[in-house]
Amino acid sequence: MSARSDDADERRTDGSVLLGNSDLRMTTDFLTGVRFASVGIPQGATILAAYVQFTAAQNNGGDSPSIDIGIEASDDAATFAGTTSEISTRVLDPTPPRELGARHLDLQRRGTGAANERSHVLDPARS
Amino acid sequence: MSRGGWTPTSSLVLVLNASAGTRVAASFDAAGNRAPVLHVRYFDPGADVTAALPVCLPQESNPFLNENAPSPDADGDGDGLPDVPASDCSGRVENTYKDMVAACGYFPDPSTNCHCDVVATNFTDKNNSGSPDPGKSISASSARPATTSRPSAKSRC
Repeated sequence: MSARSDDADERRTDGSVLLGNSDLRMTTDFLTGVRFASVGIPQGATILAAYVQFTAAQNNGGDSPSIDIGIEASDDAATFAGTTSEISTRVLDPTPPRELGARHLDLQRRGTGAANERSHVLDPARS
Repeated sequence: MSRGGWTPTSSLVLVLNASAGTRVAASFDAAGNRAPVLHVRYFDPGADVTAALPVCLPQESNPFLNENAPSPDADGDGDGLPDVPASDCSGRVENTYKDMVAACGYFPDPSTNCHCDVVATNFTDKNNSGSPDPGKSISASSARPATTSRPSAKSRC
């Protein structure tokens, strides 16, 4: 990520999009969007494995989250502008999303990039 | 990556949709080095990575293995190509052998031993920050950056 507009939360109740927060709130109250600019993968490459490395912003745990990851179906996804419902209206790849299980996203307090803060996002051999 | 308009400079958006539980992660605004990082391991069929591939030649055609080896080009056609695999049922062995010899420049200088490295595709490991992934075991060849050139034969004689 390279800009403050590359991540955003959308409040489900009214579609308002929050930019510039220090936290990404993966809860039932928000949709979260994260953008990775110029990823550098050539066309036609076969994805063998992929994950997102998160860093915990607060103490998490004690529940069993169910968080799906969708991938925007775009040749070149735009950054977030803060317009209403711009995360929920993005068209996602029809491939079933990958679930973020608690096992992969413990996100303990003040994380420093531990393995339990990773989330697998792409199935092997997906291109 | 299979999209028609996808390029290496394309950007990717992930949407995280929680139906239960709560997880709060640092954003880019918290601190750039705590922002989410996308790690991708992929296979690029267009990447050039050199890998050693042993080339086996008939012993009788290799003067370095057999001092009684015949001249590599003794059939008088002057093509400079070894003649030992002169034929098989369909010429496949001969043609393959000659292609390999030509690619390697075999017997360019009898004073030097010769083998051929061929270019093969390989795995590439990259993350979105452009730095090597410190958290994974990367094979020696995987640290080589991907290129967009097509595979080609290279010789080292």
